[in-house]
Amino acid sequence: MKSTDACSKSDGCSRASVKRGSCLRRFAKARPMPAALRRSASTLLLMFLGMIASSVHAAEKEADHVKIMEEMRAREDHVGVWQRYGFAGIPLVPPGRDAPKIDGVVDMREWAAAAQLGGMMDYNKGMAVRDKTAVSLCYTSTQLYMAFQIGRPQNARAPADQDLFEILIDASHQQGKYYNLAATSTKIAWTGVGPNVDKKAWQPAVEYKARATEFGWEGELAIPFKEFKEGAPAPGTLWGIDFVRNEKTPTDRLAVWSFRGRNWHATKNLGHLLFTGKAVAVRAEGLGWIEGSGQHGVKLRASNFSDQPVTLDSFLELRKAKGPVALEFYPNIDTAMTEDLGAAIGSPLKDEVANALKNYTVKKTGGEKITIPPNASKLIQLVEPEEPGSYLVLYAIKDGGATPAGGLLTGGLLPFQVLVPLAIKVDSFLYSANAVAYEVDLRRVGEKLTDQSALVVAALDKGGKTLAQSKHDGIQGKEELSGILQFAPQPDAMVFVRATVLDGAKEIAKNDEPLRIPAKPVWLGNQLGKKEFVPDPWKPVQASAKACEVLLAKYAWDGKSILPDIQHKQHAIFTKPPALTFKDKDGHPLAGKLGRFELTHRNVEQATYEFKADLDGKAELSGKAKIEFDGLVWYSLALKPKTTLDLAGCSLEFTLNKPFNEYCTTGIGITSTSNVNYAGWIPAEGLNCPYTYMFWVGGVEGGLQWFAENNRNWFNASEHNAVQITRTDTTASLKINFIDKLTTLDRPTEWSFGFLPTPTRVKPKGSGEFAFFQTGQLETDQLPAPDPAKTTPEAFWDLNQEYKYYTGERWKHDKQLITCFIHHGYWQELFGYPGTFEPPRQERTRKSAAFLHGLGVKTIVYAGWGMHTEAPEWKDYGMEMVSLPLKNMGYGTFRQGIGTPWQDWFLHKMAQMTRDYDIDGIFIDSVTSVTTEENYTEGVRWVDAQGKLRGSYPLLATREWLKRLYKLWHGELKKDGLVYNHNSPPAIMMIENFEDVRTPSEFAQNYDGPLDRKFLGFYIAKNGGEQFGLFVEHTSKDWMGAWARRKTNQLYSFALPLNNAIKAVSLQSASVTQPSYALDAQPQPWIWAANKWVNRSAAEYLPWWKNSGYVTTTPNDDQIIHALWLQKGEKALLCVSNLKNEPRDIQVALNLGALGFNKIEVKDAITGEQVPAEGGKLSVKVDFERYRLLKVTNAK
Amino acid sequence: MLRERLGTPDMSRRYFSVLVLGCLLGAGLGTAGMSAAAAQADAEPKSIRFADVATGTLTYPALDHLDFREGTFECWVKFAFDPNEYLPAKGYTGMLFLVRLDGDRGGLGIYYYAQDGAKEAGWSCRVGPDSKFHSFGIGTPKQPTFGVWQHLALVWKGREMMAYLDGKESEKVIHNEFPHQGFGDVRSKPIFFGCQYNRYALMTIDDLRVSNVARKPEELGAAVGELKADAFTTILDPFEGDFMPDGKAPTKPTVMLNGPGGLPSAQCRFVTGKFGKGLAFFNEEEKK
Repeated sequence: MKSTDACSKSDGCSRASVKRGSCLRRFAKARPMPAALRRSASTLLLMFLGMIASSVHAAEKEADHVKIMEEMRAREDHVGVWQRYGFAGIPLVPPGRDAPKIDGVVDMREWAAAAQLGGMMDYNKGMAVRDKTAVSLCYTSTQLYMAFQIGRPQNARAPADQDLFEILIDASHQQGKYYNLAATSTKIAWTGVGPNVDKKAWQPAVEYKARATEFGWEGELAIPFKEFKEGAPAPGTLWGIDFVRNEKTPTDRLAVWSFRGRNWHATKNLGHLLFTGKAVAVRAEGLGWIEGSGQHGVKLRASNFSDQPVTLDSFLELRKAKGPVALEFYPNIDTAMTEDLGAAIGSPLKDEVANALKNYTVKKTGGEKITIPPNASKLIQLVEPEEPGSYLVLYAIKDGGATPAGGLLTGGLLPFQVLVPLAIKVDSFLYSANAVAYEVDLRRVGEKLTDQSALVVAALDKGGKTLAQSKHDGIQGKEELSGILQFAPQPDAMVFVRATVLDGAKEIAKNDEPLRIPAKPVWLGNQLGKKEFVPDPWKPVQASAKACEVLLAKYAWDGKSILPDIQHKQHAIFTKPPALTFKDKDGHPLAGKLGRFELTHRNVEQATYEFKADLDGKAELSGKAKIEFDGLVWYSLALKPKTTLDLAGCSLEFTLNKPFNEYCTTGIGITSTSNVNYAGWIPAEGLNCPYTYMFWVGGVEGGLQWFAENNRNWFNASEHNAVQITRTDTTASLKINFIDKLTTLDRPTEWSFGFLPTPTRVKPKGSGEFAFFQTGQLETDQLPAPDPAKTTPEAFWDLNQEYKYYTGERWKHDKQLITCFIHHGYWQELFGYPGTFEPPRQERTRKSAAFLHGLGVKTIVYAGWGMHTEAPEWKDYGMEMVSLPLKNMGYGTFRQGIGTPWQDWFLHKMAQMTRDYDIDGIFIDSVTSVTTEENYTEGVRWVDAQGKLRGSYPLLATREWLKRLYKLWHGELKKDGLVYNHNSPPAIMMIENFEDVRTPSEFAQNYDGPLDRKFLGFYIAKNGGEQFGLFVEHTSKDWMGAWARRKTNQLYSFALPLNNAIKAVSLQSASVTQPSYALDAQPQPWIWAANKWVNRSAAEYLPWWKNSGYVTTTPNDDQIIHALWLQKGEKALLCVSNLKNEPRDIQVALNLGALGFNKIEVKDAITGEQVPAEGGKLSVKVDFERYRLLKVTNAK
Repeated sequence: MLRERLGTPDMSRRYFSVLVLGCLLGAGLGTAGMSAAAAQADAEPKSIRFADVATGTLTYPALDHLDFREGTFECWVKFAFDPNEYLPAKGYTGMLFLVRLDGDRGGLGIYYYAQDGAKEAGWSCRVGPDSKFHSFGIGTPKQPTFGVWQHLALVWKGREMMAYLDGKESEKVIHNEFPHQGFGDVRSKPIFFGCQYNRYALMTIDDLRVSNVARKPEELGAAVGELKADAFTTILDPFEGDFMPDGKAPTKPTVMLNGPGGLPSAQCRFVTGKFGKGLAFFNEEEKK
């Protein structure tokens, strides 16, 4: 069976490759699983076997894979996907016709020959906004002309100076920088180049006039093409573009033409402008809810200003939501395609568009071919009488010409709602946060509102009793209001959310929205994974008044500082204790005096200390420090000024010794412009970062990791420099600046963060011989020979491969070595669902586990990824189980909310699976790649100093989830289970301590650069396991053809010496699984055998940075690395790798005395070839980017 | 100026009421005039007298054709009655209802009428509601009017409205409110030609054009003759029909953005027009 592993957008699946859709996951997920899952059990079995055997042909089929990948890329060429990225062909002003006069009066006659765009959307929701906006565009050979008309609410027609019309232009269509222009109703406010607009970088000579009108305001502008470095566009040229209503009055409103996924700088999400070179103008006369006409749909006017007839093809469609839409169309697609998540997700764009469309039923479709004579217009429309509901309108006009998007002249999709007066949207979070979130739409009662109007929103029970209520004053001019009502859920009951608009005591409007509260689920609040004990490999916490000891670390407090001195038991990592420093307004350190430091609670799992300190008589610093058995220290601090406190600085600093001063990693940042997500060598100039949820600094064998769920109460002069990582020849420093600008605190200020010296765990028992095989279930190895008469030729081929493997010598060999079968996909009906419904599947899972257990082989199943919307739990509890704002993970799932009831439910399901099928653990995909959440659960949402709602990275909740699962399979339900976790970003050890296997994505296979020192630094920092005490295993994606730029044996060349493994996925395939160093070979079984031969778990691991006393090579440069696994005096496994892109002869000299050897025999572990090694001297030929794995035996 | 002719706004409102009332009352309104005209009937057999035939109507959907932000209405019209037969007017004498262009809250109509005691009749444009809009006179056509083609055009843009009679600007008003805001939705009422009571539409029309731009004088039919479609044309109907109107079959306009054509009622006939055929709103053969 093929793997459907995750891969990261944040690592080796580069932005470029993701953009092209070449991300491995996308390929994998693009396979026809959903359809397959719905097939009968027998069909599924055939498919399953077919997929196993299809890998036999990996080499033969590589060309097919390449073709598929290329097709996929072509499909994902987003230019043509007008359903996601609006497309507008703009006409050339025809000869003999005057270009528009820039006088600020948008005249129908002068702009008639221009394209007119409509359908502006709310920046956050991707939903049509009520006020009309029309943008007209045309061009001459020298100028780009634009006009805009902005309708505003009746009671606030006149724009203010803060109300802007903005334009973003990506003239190169490289999706990087963009030209930015902002205009008020009186002037150009600025021009520049974004992101982080540099106003000096673009100062074009723009002709601009605007004026206030009876509907709002309008303006005209002309920009000479010479002001763009790209120059005048030739016909067929594409620009990325967006238009923005950036308004502050009557209320803050942000509406865009192209939904940018709530990422202002996402130029990849700009719409498209095509310079057609033709005099054919398509004007959007009505889009969405055309209120003035009592209709909804689309009305386009196509005008032909040329001297020849034109023929256009049209496609128009109106869709209506089948029911309440969990996530609106654009956010649905965008969250599936975003690169901002820690985990790679999603499938080809067109698939996501198709999936998002499935939430809407086609109400009406139209399309016709029309011919427009010269100098004439035609109306192209599809409308229905208005009727409340959520809709999509889709339109595309093609002129049959060879535009870059297949003749597309204009196209777009607009989600819109036809609202009842005072429409109420209600989402229940009663079981997760005792909260009901509401949004009340005021637009249809806007004309009735006065400055005395107020909105009262209340939750009422069936008897009319008010359960909770909130009131909003000053609602005039507002379009919608939102809030929460908090009350405890009454299970299995109805409540009504009532919105009432009052003008004094007079009721102006009222509406009710019913809400059913489902029964409390049996799984909510379960205690699975919470039993008090310390699982292997850790030991109970030993805590005293001023010291706390865990498996590999000891923390000691000196009675002066609230922070401990940290002593790692294996390494001298720290130069000095960490320091928390406060600076007064003049920059002088404030003296702190620790008044109380007390161990207040302890058990085997944790110890909690409470403290209180005086800060120079000006403030009190109090809080808690909790140390858990895995070494995580978590601080909760509160700084209480006595009156007000002026601080110029507050920072936390860790200083590390050499050699723990070499590498660093970071999590994902909070800003789109300085997301670093860095892994690699600490740059000589250091690294300045914004807040991210994690920073790790260290060396190849250990370091320090720091965590925080958010940057609440951080006051930074520049958010981009809030954290500094620096290094010298002898030290490295991690400095977290909570405050680095003059700040006056006048109320208690809280911070929370954690840290962990790494490693604070040791690798799992027996991990040196771990051997994982990803495939389907196996109920017996006594397979019958397939009958060619009873199957198709292709299926027969596949089944025969299966038959030959399991009944042949290879299986006899492999089954002695395999630790565990991974059932990655296909075992369940719903992707990622922790369970299966069909009795045949259940039976097969049970029988397979039993059979494999009989062989001493464990079995784990794939689960996680997201919450499936077809899951039986979705209807009642789904919205309480997902991450907010919703994130479409593709394949029918939304990203789970890890701190929501989803956690209890997942534990419940996995415990049930363990009991029902005797599985030994789980293969997790993506769940631990934390992303920001704005859920209503405690401590997640917060509001920053600018009043903006912010979220948090759910580190603690994710840790709790994984720890519960780990304990489930390491003592609670099973003793020696397995937690196999695919987490693409750099390791997050406060979470990933609780895994037996870390899979850090497939990035290396897609990596196209040299295997040089820089690469090695990146690889070690991101994927090394030694510094974390983790067993690390990559997946193999050779079957992906050209995508896998480096094949398994190339991957081994740097993974093996670093003690990392590669999962097997194609053992049945004799043509793939071969004892060879060839690029088309996968040698896992022979490497497993070598591991077993040397007893790798018990052998001394001597990598190149500490084996100089045992091994020397000639040549000896950065691209030759090696490692020994030594059983002193007996045998050793030696790996010598050549990372250079050319074959090399490497002379290896073994120090036999140091190794405890006399005379040695050397045999290649892969090929079985004998290697002469007289006197410990070997000469080995190593192909480019390859390795040799040698078994060295002491010939006593 | 219209207001000078009509007097104060109150007076004009009163006049409008009477006009409408007259239409509602039908024959009663024209009693005196018809009596006078009846005396002349034998002497002027070509003219048709009010109520001698039932007049027809012609409708087009206003939605997508009529935009009160900016636009132009124009057509040629020829009387089938002789206004002089009813002059001097005894009482307010409405003679012809040409067209109504309405939204759901207001609109305008073009009428031909004579004030009480007037020796001449003239064209008027009634615009309402009159708290926000001004009605105005379009002008008095040159004599004779019976059987003569006249060109009428109404042009609007923003708050401005202009009327042209036979290609000459005859009136221009600036309203207190923007018609597109004050008239409301145009979806509920059609562009309506004729008299809903089938009486005061003794006319033939030709080359009807509705545009979404304010036409310049030199673009109007009076200046250019037979019209051709352009990109600003929303309706252009030359009435080149070859069928018997029945209230169901549409005309065959050269341009009509939304829909197949106008709907002439069964009283209408395609007859000789200004250019080729035109549409008569009566069937002379049904003359009583």
